[in-house]
Order: sequence, then C-alpha cells, then structure tokens
Amino acid sequence: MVMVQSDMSRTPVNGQIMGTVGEKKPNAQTPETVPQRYDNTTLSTIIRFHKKERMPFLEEALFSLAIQDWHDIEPIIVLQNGTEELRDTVAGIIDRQPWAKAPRHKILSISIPAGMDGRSTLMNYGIKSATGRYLSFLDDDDVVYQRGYATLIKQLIESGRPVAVGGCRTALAQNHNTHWFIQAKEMPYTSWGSTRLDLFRQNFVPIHSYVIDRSRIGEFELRFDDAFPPLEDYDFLLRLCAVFEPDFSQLGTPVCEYRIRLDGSNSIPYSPNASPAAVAAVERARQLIIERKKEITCLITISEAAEFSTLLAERDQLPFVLARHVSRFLRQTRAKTGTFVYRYPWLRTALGRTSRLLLGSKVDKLRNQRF
Amino acid sequence: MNNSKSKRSLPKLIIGVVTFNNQQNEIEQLSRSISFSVENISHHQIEAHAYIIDNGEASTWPELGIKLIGFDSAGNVGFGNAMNVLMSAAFSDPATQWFLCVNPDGVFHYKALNELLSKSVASPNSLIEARQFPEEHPKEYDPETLETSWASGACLLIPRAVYETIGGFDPNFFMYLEDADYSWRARAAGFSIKFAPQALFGHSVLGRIPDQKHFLLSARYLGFKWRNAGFVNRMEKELIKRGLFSARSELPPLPKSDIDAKTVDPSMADFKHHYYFAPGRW
Repeated sequence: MVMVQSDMSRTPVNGQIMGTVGEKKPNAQTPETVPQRYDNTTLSTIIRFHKKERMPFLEEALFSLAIQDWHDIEPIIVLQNGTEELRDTVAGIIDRQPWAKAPRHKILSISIPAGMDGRSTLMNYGIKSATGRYLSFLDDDDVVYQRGYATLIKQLIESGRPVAVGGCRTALAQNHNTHWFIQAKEMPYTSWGSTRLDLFRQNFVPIHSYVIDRSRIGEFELRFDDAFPPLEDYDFLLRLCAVFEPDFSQLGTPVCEYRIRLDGSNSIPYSPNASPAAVAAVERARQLIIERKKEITCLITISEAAEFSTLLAERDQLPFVLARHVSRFLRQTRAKTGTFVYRYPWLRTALGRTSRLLLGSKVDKLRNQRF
Repeated sequence: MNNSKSKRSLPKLIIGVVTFNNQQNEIEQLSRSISFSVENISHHQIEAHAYIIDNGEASTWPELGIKLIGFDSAGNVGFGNAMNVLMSAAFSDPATQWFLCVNPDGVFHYKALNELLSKSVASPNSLIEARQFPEEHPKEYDPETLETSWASGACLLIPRAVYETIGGFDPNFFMYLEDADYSWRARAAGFSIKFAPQALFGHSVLGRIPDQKHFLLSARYLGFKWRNAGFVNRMEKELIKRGLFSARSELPPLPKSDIDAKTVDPSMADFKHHYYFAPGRW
C-alpha cells in the first residue's frame, strides 16, 4: 500500500476531513448515528421527496423499486416538510405497488427551515432510520433497472468490497404535454472514468448507481454534509471512497437510469434558464469540493499509484494538452454547449463517433485529464 | 357491478396470459399487479376476467379478485397459437370488447389498465401498446399523436373491431415477431397503432438475449411473408453463421401464410432498421 496525500503539510487521517470545509449549518437538524449490526439481507433505499408536483416521477421510481429482482427492500421516503396528507398519499402509492415481498416501508417527514437546502439533512435522517445491511439512494425522478440491485449485491458478496458501482444510462426527456418523451438514451459516464482515481478527478458515479454493504464499513460514518448541496453526493463519495476502494467491475452493466429533462427542470448544467442563485450554489459547491480534495487523504494500492504515474507521464503529450484546452473551453461555456448538444442527439452521437475515430482508445483518457 | 343483471350487460375485458414454466414468484407478482390495476378501473364500468393457458408445466394462481379461467394445455404450441385459443374464446362472448395480451414475466403498474382503456376509448380503431418499463422499446413513436408502426405483444390491448377484421396472431410464428406481423396486418386493414406512454408494464428486457434460433426463424418467415427476399436471405445466412443450421438445405421449409396474399401490403413492413423493424430513438 502507498500513501498518497494531496497536501503533505497536514496530518494524514485516512478519509477524514481535516479542515473547516463542510461544517454543519447551525439550523440543520442532526440525526444521531447509532452503530448497528447487520445480519440481514435487506436493502434500504432512501428516496428524498420535497415537491408534491413531482409525484408522477416518484410513482415511477417506486414502481422500479417494487419490480426489483432483489425482493428484500426497505423503501425509506424522506419528505421535506411533509404534511399528513402527503404522507398518506405516498403510503397509498407504496401499498399499491406489486412488491414481490411486502416491504417494511418508512415515511419520514423532516422539518427544513425556509431558505435552507435540506438535501443532505433529509438523506441523513434516511440513513439513520435504515435497518438494511445494504444501502442505496434513489432520486425521486430516476429509476433503477429490474436487475440493478440484484446485480450490485451479488457483486458485493463476490468481491467482499463495501461498495459496488454499476453503469448508469442517461435518458433525455422532452415534455410533450401529456408525458415525457424519451428521445435518446446513452451511457456517457463509463467514458468519464472507471477507477477510484478517476472518481477523485470528477464524479462519474450518479447517486443511484451504487450499493453500500454496511457490514463492511466498520464505524465509518455515512453522512451527507449540509454545506455541499447540490454536490453533496460527490462529497459523500469522495469521503467514502478515500477509505474504501469500490468495486467497479459492473460499470459496463446498466443498473439505473438518470433522467435528464431537457427543459432543465431537474439538472442545472442542462438548463439555460437556471436561476443566478442556483448557478451560484453550484459554483460555491464546486469550490468546496476543491477544498475538500485538498483535505482528504487516502491510502491507494500500488496498481492505483502506477495508473496515477502513467497519467502524469502522459499529461504533457500534445494530444492531452490539446484536450485540456478543449475541455477547459467546453467547461467555460458549459451551459450553452451542454444545452445545445443535448438538444440534438445526432450531433452528440456524431461528435462522440468522430472523436473516437480520430483518437481511438485515448479518447477516454483524454476526457479525464483534469490534474 | 352489484347485481347479476347489470353484470351481464357490462362490457368485458379479458386479460390473456400464456405461461411457460414461469417461476411461482413471477405468477404471484403478476397476479398482485392485476388485482391493483383492476381495482383502479372500477369507474370504467367493465367486467375483467383472466384467461390462462399453460404451454409448459401447470401454473398455480392465487386469488386475483376477478374471475380466472384456466384452459386445457395443448403442450408447447408456441406463444401465438396459445394466445389465439384465449382470444377466440374471449371474443366468442359478444360482451367482450377488449382482449389484453400479457407476458407472464411482466407486472402492471396499478394505473396501467386504466391508461390502456382510456386510450382505447379515445381511439377505438387502434391497437394500444403499453410502455415497457423501465426500459421501453426504442422504436419511434409520434409524441403528439402517439402513433407508432408496430406494437409489442408484451402488453397489448386488442379491441374487438381489430379481432373481427384480422383475427388472431399468425400461427406460423412459434414465438417472437408475431406482434410486428399482427401490427402490420392491422395497419394494412386500416387500423392504427397507438403507444400509451403512461401505461407502465414492468418487464425486464435490458440485457436479455432472446432464443436466437426461434427469433431468426421468425424473422426469416416475417421477411418471406412481407415479400422481402433480401431480409430472408440475411436471416438464412445469420442462422448458418451462428451455427444453428449447417446449410440452407437444412432450414425448415417456409410455411404458407395463413392470410390472403392480397391483404399483405409490403409498404407496411419495415426491414430497413434491422431487428427494430422501425426507426429507433437510440
């Protein structure tokens, strides 16, 4: 094992936060963490829900849970400032799903002060109430494929690792009055990265594409930081994966779907109409992530160190330098180019095919040059 | 629906399921989903029954909350043939207005039947296809009119008017592609095919590898029936290339089509898009 630190001036504490980044906000409720023993086969899946207008999406998310090949599921729905009426509605929907095994579902309602982004708090309450050995997260407007959780849990069992990651497809959805028309599906994240080091560079692991085996993480505290929304999921993964090496062997197997609504209503990077406050929140979270990366230390394997060294050696070669410039340009104009490219699937496909034709297998590495 | 007199006059929906050695948990989950979905159509004032036939071992069904009729198995006669037995029995009752063809390894969303029936009421001269979930078929459909070129038989609502005009599935398909053929026949007869995006039918198709031999033989027959010699040739080459047959002379003879050659309109068929049989969205 080799110790690699991003900042040698600090005392290394593996996977621990050593600075002030991400301190809890004073008004946030904080659930107590109770160490538990996990001698069951239950998968606890936490879904946050904060707008009743999103109920049609939640129905699909719950249906995708109900038809999983893994039958022992504990759905935990965490409502933000949920009323009794909303609780009853959600409970009614859960009861009408054709579960293979009747679930012991939980519906929590958490009070979040006005003006606070409660995403992390909701998740932390969900984690606190989860009883399953296995833990997963699902956004209320995404879905998991039928074999998704069974595939990942099988991988956890076979590999003995505490985290198993699967592939995630994006579905680009256009609003057509009566329904959301899926105009294209693709699997972009596999070309963003496939290793823990790739994850440290950028997030290619959507929140619903992995399962955690809690029996293998000891006393590690699973907690989302209230300072980090909307990038709280990436911060969570950085801290978790700094300590535990995930299993990425199912990355090529689609286990879930991330639905991008092309009107920008669920994804700021694709929205030309994102509010200045939302854009500012993303930028602030990005800065916090940069700080977090400076403060977390990590033990890596020799093979990871070798990969790291190869990438460093290649970084000054001409194609990679060019790619960095292109990548920087695209990032700087992300809102416009992202929306433009995503509106025209043929253009996206053509760009992908052309770059692969010209650069061959190097294209995947090129996209990840972010040191 | 509270007295026998009104029951007799209610229009009927028959849910037809052909099983083939399905696991008991699949049957139970489908049963549960039928119950929830039927509960949700009470306002339509229709009577729902389920017709079951086993192509393999006998299946055991729990209480559905609706009348369930089991038909004598004729062995493994193929999907279309078995479904035709159920369809024929269903439409022999003049009260039956719809037959819902359902795969036994799928699951209804509780709103699915309601969505299918509502779409059928709005478009009485159409076959109505449910949306397979979470992975829907990538073939194109018009997002405004919801028209599509063919409908999957995994969960397909067939109204009486279509059955009375074109009958059931072509019995020459043992399994696979009888639904594409049925759709093209319906369109050739003047009906349309509509997609119901909010009628969710949980059906795991992602990563599933079909029985290659039966699929390619069905594709070969589809090409033959719809007058596409090039496609027939491709399928025959594919059957040999994959080692399923050693030579063309070993291939089973192509059957005669059961429908009048005059009703086959090759312009309804699409062999340009490989196994999608329609332009794909992805």
